[in-house]
Amino acid sequence: MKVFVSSLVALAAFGGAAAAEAPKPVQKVEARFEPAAARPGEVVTLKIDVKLDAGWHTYPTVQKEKAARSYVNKITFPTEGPIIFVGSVIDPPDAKSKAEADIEELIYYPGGGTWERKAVVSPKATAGENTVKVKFRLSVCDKNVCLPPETLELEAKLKVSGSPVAVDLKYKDEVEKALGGK
Amino acid sequence: MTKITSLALVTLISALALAAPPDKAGQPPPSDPALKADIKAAGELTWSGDLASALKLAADKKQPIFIDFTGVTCTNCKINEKNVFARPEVKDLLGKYVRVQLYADTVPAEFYKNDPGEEKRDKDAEVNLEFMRKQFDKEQLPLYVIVRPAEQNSFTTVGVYDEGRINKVDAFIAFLKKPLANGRE
Repeated sequence: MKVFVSSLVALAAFGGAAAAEAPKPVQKVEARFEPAAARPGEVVTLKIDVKLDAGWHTYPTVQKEKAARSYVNKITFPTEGPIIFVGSVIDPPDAKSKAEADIEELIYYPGGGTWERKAVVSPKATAGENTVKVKFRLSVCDKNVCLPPETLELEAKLKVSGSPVAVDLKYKDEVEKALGGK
Repeated sequence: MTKITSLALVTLISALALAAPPDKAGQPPPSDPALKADIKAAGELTWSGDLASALKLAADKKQPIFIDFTGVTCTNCKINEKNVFARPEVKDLLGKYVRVQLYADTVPAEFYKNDPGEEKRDKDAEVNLEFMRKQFDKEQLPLYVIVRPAEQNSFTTVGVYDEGRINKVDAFIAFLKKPLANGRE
């Protein structure tokens, strides 16, 4: 019996030491443009794919409820360069929500999702391969713990080629502003 | 061995694993004069964001220190702070500690005398996160640690509670009670 108890206590102590390693639930975070090639003036979409282990979840970039506003991911886009980001970030469509503490509707994404933002290839862009860097501050939790959010630097490649096209009227003002015209 | 004995053993081992005291001495991050002495939060108890200053206070008051590693982005932390810390028994026990909240993502503006801006608040949180990693070999939120002040503004670790979201409130209460029962508070 004593041996059994000692073994169990030793096992518990060893288990405690092993638990010192931080969980690594993030399987993938990748950024890509769709399409991967475009002409100056064309609209493309930056897509950021996040895949988490089962049991882990992450958050949108905007929560609906004020009490939940800090439970978000944050994406920082470049404000200069040949790719002009327009409009707002589009959070993944398959959101779930639950009541937590004093929050009536906490929006979350089990397993991850794909975040999107439109961009316009600058009409002044020259032909060639471009690498765009975005920062993604990713918050992940499971049912018991959260990990300190990590800021990931992601790169997406976009090939610019062909003759320029007229900028979509929907984004014309934002593009002109980015180019210093407004 | 009866089933009851087995159950008791498993419970004991589970409690040991949750609150294993690393018995490790350490130094706090440097004191930051930009931080307020304390603020009201989490169950209406006062909390400091400055462990170095809290160590001096704890030495004067001869009290242990309860460190709440938390985060503004951490739902499980807020659930504990709202649902568990506010329980009368837990609140009474926490009241017997000098209390410190170390944010590991961004330090909220209300912890400062004047908001120093997001960049400094993020950097201060990085210092807290690095302190958690190096001193306690953990990288998770929430994490609860009890320390005692030692000589030259250092501390000794009394216990670490790493359940995360507190599902076993009795185990957390036992974790808080144990250092106080030693008659050194």
